[in-house]
Amino acid sequence: MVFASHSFLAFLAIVLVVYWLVGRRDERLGKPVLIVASFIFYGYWIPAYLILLTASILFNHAIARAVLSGPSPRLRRALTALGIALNLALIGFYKYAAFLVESLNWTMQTRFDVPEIILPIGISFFTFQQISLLVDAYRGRVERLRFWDHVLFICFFPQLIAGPIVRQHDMLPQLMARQDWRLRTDYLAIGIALFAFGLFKKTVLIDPFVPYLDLVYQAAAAGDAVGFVDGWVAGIGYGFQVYFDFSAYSDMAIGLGFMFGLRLPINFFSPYKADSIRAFWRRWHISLSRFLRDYLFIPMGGSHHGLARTVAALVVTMGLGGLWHGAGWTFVIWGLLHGAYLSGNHLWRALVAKWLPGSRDRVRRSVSLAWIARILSIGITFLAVSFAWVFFRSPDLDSAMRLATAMFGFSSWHEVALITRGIVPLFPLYLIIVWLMPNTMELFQATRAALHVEEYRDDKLTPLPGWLTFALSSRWAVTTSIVFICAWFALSNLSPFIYFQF
Amino acid sequence: MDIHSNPGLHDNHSLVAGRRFLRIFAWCVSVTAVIVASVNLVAYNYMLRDNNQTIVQLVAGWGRMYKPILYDEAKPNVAVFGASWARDAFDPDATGRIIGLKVFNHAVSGGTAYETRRFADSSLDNPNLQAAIINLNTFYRSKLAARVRYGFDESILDVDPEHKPNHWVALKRTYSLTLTGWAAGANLKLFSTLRARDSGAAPSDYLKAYEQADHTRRSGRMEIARQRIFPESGRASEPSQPGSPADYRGPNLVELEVMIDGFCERGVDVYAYFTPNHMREQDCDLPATEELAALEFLRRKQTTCNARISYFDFAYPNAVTLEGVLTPVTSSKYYRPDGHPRPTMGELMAARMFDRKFPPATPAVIKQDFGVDLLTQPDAEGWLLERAARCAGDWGENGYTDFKDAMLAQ
Repeated sequence: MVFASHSFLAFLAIVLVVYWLVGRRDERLGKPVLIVASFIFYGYWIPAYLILLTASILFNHAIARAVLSGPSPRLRRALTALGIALNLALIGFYKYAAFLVESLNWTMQTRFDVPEIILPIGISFFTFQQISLLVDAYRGRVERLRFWDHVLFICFFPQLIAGPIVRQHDMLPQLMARQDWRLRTDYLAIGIALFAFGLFKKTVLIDPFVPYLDLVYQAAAAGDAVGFVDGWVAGIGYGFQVYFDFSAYSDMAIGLGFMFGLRLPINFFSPYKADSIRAFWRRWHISLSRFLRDYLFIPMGGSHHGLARTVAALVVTMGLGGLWHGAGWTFVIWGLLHGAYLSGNHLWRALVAKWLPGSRDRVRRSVSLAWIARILSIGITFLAVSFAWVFFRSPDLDSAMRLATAMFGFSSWHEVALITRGIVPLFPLYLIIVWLMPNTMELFQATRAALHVEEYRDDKLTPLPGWLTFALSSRWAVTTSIVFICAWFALSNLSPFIYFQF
Repeated sequence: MDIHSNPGLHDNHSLVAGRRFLRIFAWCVSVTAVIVASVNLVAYNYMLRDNNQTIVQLVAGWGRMYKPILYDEAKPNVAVFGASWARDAFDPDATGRIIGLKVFNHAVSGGTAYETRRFADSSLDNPNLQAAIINLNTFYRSKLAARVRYGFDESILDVDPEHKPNHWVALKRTYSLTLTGWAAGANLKLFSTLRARDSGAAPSDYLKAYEQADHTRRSGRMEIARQRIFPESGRASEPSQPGSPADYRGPNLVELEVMIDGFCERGVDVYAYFTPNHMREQDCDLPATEELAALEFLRRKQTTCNARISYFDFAYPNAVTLEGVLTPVTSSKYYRPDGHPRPTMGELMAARMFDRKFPPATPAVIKQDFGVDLLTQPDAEGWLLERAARCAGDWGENGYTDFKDAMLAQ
């Protein structure tokens, strides 16, 4: 069930009414209602995969409990390794089996049948959550693990199929501490407002203009000539599409969670305002970045064992991060590109520190220089990220390379892109939104509807004037209703959220 | 991380504020929804009226949502399928008067091959349907054309892509008619157009389909066409030979095939045609290649069809497609400013296809030479190539003198 659909709106309305009615009778019954609703939500797509989800929860719960109560460190370690291996095997089978066979056939000229496996929706997200739980249990970071808390931690429908990737320490303490599960009007109001703003981004701001962008990618996939302008329209245009799509989804997920009184972690914080690729990854798909950092990059040595090892860890982490998004070489290259960007950033910082000591401080001290440097940095980061999106979006390597080479001018000036229609005329508006306007988390900063927002408070969370900060006021109620009505009326045959496919 | 540590959001004041917020939100949303739904329902009743059908079916922009619904209400005898080239060409009232049957124009702006096929799928339940007019350009578009456009909603069609009945169609249509931005946008436009018509304005003032091109505006291109088609001395240039049909792979013929199979199974006659673009806009070779490919394809379909398939060619140098080439024309009778055919041309095409009388005052040169059914034409390929040769100034043994005289006498 896609959040931006009539069926989901109907589902949500029913769940809210049932949750409210049940909560009035018994304040503890909210949790079972959410669990049942989440299973219905997941089973709506392919009911058979409920078995998979249930098996995953049962297995990981058993392993986690065993790890928590394990008598010896060796046994706990072995159990954790077994749990991780089986989780990876599950995701490996469903998500990567076909890719592996295809790659084998391609490289070794074999002719194995490529298995046709339907990817269980959300498997990348809930499997990663299970792995993080097992690792945290092994590291002694899980205080208690109650079965139904574990179930809701994994299957809570706002985050089940496209994130944010919720870590146990974000969710389990909330579930354990909560005694009163009744619906609260203030949380519901804030949740609805966040959901409405997210829906607006998706249905009004981006989806009507996506088909025009698809034409460029179709041209590249069909082997037709694409030009320099086409290449950049494809990269920048898709950058906007995935930005609005994913930030919309993240707002809606956080809003949905908050309706039921649960806070989900911040997942998106104006990534195109980032003035370096490191800053970009602190703002883009934040929950995934943190997962990769804590469970891959740091265990591989992080940035404390010399530059060479840091670069190696970055490339491997980002390559695997790319592969997490999809079983295809285009995703791997997208990840490796970002690994290369991040490595370049580390190298640049090291070089500047060694050869131009104090230059950063001099730039910072000069207000005008600092501004120029910042604007340049933001622009370069944006273009680098846009270039990489071409690999993320292209259906195959050939078309990605066709677009990428066109972006470097190894082609004609302009071939396919409709530059007077569709998405291109909206580029200035999109740039204003992504570069100059406050993001949803800033608008809603007073509500603290998402976890970890405070980490962005120092220099990134722009202080907003009071009238621009969301509050439970009549003015914001009217604004929210207008936003919701526009978004609701624009609901049509929208494309599913991009991150639903991962 | 207890949510109740959220400052300012756990006191009674916050609960009261939340309640008030929700009340205002719910009130605004429901009042707006009721108003919009009421206006949309009133507008829908206007749409169903017979005297409004021309406007409803020719206004651009909202067809994807409205036309499948209105079609099921209208239950016409003849339906037109395609993109805006077909939508602008066939005024349902005027065409209906020509052929004596109830016509519904199901073509939509930018209609894609898939969408057109799906609209046809959904139209098959109509027991009154006798004939379908299909604009082939929709299926011979670039392979890069999008599969569907924004606003196309398969859930409001009667059947799914495998021709199995869709569920909850009535409910979804009710929702679409009342509570979507499409409905609101369409109805604003509908009311303003109806108002213009009722104030006595000319159709060209309120319907884009009736706007008239000024052929003198791009005189350079017209002059090039004139020199090519009517060379001052002898033949202007060698006509390029069209490629063989096998070389031309119509990218969306699968959809066309499914569509025609559906009509054939139900005994619905098919009238296929390519848009007769103005000769100023046409190359001399590609259309003939497409036409040859379509000819071969439709011949093959005819052998297994329970109904009659006709394939009319209008898109060659004739008195309609050469309008304004020999004499300046500032208000085209047959073309819109963007080159789309006007309904006046649709009347001529309908008369030819259904073998009915042409509208009064139709020039003799048009009656004599505007369109032929290639599937009943002996040596259709030869006929096509002969007509395509005109494009390069080759008018055969007798030259173009007679034709030119007839044109100038219009």
